[in-house]
Amino acid sequence: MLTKNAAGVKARKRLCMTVNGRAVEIEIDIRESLLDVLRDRLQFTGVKQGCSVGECGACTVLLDGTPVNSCIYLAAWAHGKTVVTIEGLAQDGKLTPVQEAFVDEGAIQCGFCTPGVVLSTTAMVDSGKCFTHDEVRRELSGHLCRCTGYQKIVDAAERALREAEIAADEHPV
Amino acid sequence: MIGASSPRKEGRAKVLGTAIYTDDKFMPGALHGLTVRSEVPRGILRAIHFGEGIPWEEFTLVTAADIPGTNLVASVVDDQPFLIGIGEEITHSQQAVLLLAHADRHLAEKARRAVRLEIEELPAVLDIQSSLDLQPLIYGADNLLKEIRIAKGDPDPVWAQAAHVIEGEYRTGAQEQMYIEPNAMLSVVEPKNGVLQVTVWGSLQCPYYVHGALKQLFGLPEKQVRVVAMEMGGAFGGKEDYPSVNGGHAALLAWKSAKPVRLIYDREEDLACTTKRHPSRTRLRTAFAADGTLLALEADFILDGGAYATLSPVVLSRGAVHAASVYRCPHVRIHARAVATNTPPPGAFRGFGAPQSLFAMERHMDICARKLGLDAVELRRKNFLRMGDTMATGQVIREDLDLAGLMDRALTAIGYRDKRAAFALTNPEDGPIKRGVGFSVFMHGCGFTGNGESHVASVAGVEGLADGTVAVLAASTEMGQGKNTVFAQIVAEALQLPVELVDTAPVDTDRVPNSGPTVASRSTMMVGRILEDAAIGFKQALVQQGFLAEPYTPETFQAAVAKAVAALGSLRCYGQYHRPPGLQWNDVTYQGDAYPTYSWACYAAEVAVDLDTYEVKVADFVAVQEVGRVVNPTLAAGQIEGGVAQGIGWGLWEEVTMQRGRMVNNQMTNYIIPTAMDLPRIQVIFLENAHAGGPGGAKGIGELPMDGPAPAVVNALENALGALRLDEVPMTPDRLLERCEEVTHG
Amino acid sequence: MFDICELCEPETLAEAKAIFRANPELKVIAGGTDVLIRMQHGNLAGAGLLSLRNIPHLDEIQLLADGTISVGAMAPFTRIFEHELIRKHVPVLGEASVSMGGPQVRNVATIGGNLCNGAVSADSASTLFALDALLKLETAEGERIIPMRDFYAGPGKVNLLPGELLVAILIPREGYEGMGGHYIKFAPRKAMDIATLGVAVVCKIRENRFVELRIGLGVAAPVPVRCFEAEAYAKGREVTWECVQEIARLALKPAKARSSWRASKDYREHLIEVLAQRAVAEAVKRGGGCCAD
Repeated sequence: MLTKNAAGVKARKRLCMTVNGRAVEIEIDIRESLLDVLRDRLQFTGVKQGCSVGECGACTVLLDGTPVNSCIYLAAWAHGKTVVTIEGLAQDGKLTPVQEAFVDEGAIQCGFCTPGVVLSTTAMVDSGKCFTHDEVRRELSGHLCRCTGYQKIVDAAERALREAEIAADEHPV
Repeated sequence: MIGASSPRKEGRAKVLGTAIYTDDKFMPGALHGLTVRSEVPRGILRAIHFGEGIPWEEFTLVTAADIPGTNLVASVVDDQPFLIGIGEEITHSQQAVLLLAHADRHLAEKARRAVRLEIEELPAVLDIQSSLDLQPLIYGADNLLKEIRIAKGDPDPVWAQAAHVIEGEYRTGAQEQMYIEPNAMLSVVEPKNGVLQVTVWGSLQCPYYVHGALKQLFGLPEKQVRVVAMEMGGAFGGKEDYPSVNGGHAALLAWKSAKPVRLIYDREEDLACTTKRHPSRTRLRTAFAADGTLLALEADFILDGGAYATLSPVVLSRGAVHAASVYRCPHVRIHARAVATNTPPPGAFRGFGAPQSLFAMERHMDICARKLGLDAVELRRKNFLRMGDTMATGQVIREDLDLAGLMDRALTAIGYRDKRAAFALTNPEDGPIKRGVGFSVFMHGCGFTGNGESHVASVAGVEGLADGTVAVLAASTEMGQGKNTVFAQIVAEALQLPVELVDTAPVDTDRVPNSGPTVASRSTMMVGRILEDAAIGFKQALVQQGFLAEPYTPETFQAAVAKAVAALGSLRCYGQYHRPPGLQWNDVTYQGDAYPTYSWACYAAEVAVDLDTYEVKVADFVAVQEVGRVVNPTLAAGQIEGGVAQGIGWGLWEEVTMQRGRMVNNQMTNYIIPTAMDLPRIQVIFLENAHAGGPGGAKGIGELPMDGPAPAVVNALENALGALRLDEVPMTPDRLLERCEEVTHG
Repeated sequence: MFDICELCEPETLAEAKAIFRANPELKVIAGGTDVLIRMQHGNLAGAGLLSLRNIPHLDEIQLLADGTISVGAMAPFTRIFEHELIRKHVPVLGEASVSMGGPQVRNVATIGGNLCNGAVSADSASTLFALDALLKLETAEGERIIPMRDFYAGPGKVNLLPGELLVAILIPREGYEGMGGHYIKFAPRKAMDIATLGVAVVCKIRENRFVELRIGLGVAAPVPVRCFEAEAYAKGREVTWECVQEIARLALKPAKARSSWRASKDYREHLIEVLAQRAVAEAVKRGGGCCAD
């Protein structure tokens, strides 16, 4: 099935990365996507598969803090990188302010797009930048949601940004 | 309590990523199942050829010949096979012929590509007109899957006498539910206590539908089949009847291989082969008096039902009953037909026939207003149903109905009059942007049509748990609509407990009774009502058996339940659906109370059309509805916002492109649903008018928001652009260009 | 799982060029947002991949001594959109960059990959055409620098020699200095879609006359095109509304629009004219001109 090329390059690779704060070292098949590895090998089933072509955003994870679609990201490329999935946000069961905002604003219905959107929102909040309403919608435009019409998702993101700004004002770094 | 925005019960699990959807369930040693399908819309299956280079001996293969029980999917009409056998007729593209499974998913995909089906092609019917013309005959004696006639009074003498007779033809396209989680099933079939046990875990709305289908597929008794509903990543009707098919397929592979099987569809397969909204063609003829009084209505309502009956009889039914919309009309004739075509059978999608017929009537009313020289608002106001009026089926409006008030509320909220006046001044000016406001007034029947609820005779219950908390026992499934939370609120209210003490038992046919499918805007009103009774019965049992004294506090209640469960082993109380007195329905004459009640609504949309690019932007949207009682305001608003988004998508963007009887734009890249940048803020307003038949007075709301947006948006387009032929959805820019050119080029 | 037969991950450009020279059948992969999607659809089955992701400095955006802006081929679109140099000197490229895909895709998709997959819908392509950009191509043997117009061989085909890698996109000073620019991406939705049409305009205005005008069209023909007739017409003319309208009419000349599910031929041709007009009007405004009647 797998053939090596003339240069003798192998089909398996040692992957070392940090996932949700923990060092992970596994041997992977170079054909695997980061989504395959996270879900099937490491059991991070919070990362969802919605379309396999980078269109719906359900598979979004934070790679070195940046939201990427893990379904079209080779697992091999995560070598040496930091990955955060939805499972890596809450600490000891305590929801992050972004997660709280999503719950409180009713931004969750079926929940399938939720992990991805929460991660993108987290990246927005962590950037420390300000976003206009239109910019918030643009930052979340890589997530398809069929349940909510996006209204409460945008509300939750704006709330999380507001709360982060207030917290930053109260505790300037 | 009812009326409070209690937090979503499973919200925490969802935001933590710990909620278990079907594909998340860990099943070591499971095989990956795949389906080989016909690419030919009609023909005779002659042979299945297995290609070279695949270790076929490692594979589990299932064909029609393997089926142990009956090769028919239990449904309204049992006419759809699970698999097509050699020598049998393929009736639609994407029809399943062969199932295969292997531990290596990659190899399984390769194997699927290596199978070649030999099919002797036959002429196919691919559209409504060809079906009506019997070109050729493909189903029964007349290509009809179902026919319904609704008659009230006699329209025939009216046409000649009326001041105005206006006709119109309206079309709506198929629509894909596009739940973000594709269809998914897991199955294990193994001996248990000496007999075969079939278990299916899946993304499914109706565990007992799947249960019934598996019983028939395997020829097994009730107790040997178990269906478990997993967390569902959206459904909207797309997981109502189809799960019987893929659940059956997963189980067949599990049975043949004696291993666990995962049958997880990828998006492309899901789009190409699972159910969609029925395409429709509606011809309306309406007679008006000079002053705009509606005198007669004739509707010819046709649905493209695909290759098998599936849910078409019921979709047709709801569509037919909603065809006259919210208007009083003494003479009505509705002729509804679902016709067969050689396409993958459509099924359920939020609204279930009503969006199709309501689009026609609500669009028609605006066109009639224009042709009569009357204001669209006043034309409706004059003809609105009121208490005491009869609907097309003879149903008498028994509630205090104020459609005019509802309409005025919506129009005020969007600034209808002011905007129309302003746009009338700005639109004629130069500049490509033309603006308009439009609206629709509509209703949605709550619960099953006619005698449906009596047939299902739902049972639901309440159970005490060892820790003194209470569990809801119902087959209703959570798909994001908030059923877990709403049921808990209803039971908590009935028992005067904080909602934290009530939760939902896993929806497992081994555990919960058949409370009917999670469809038809019935869960809150119908099942919720049964749960209210069950809860009260539960409390009474505790009191009568001496565990509980009234009045009680939550603490004493919890202690009493714990004590009772310890003493008795278990304590459950069930309720069952009873038709409210005074409701009656004749399924033959289609006369009577089609629904116990309706939710009513007026939706208004503001659009901005760029006449250079034909892009339409929905700039503002107001949704006003009367839903009896709002159980959970946040969840209810979420339902409306999401439904409006789907309705706008259907009206402007979502199109299923068919070639050779199959969907060719079957990817998320080319079947497009709105993104966060494409939708406006939606203003949601609830009006309440408690309905005695619902828990706390609540009616149904799940499907209502799907019915209004498309006609409101297209009516707004007419206001923006003038009298174009705007009679179809989706009204894509290409189509809009075409319609504009029709006018310029005569 | 992707149907890949191997993955080469060189750590230096020299290594990459050597591997590619020895194995020219390898498929180069940059961000993967095109190649991996194609593989999901069954294309490129069994391909061996040459990944450029581990090579340092290939993603840098710099201002060279002679005023050329060099955009590394591996620069992801988010980086291009947010980069100070782009914002300051070539904002039209930022506009094109932020219009493609969605945020997650832009974080990974590279300008080099976008160009090399040869898709006529590439948002960067029509813009770079209008900027008179040059492409720096390198093999193990040497390098060449070619203008954009020599890069496209046909629909989906680019003129890369065996073993050749796109290393940088060079926008010469004359390409961007003193220009006003605007990119319009026309697509069914406001996010996520491949362009139905892309129109990129850069212009230099002095005393409300066109000193120079360049228009690049994407998806108007099998390859990205420049509207030379329209550009020639504009040169030296006063900026008026009639002039802009005529430019837009002439912009249609190189177009060979086709019907597809996204749009019919008639609709596309109509759009080319309308959007060319809008893009020119906006570019003029940004260039300090004014096209009032």
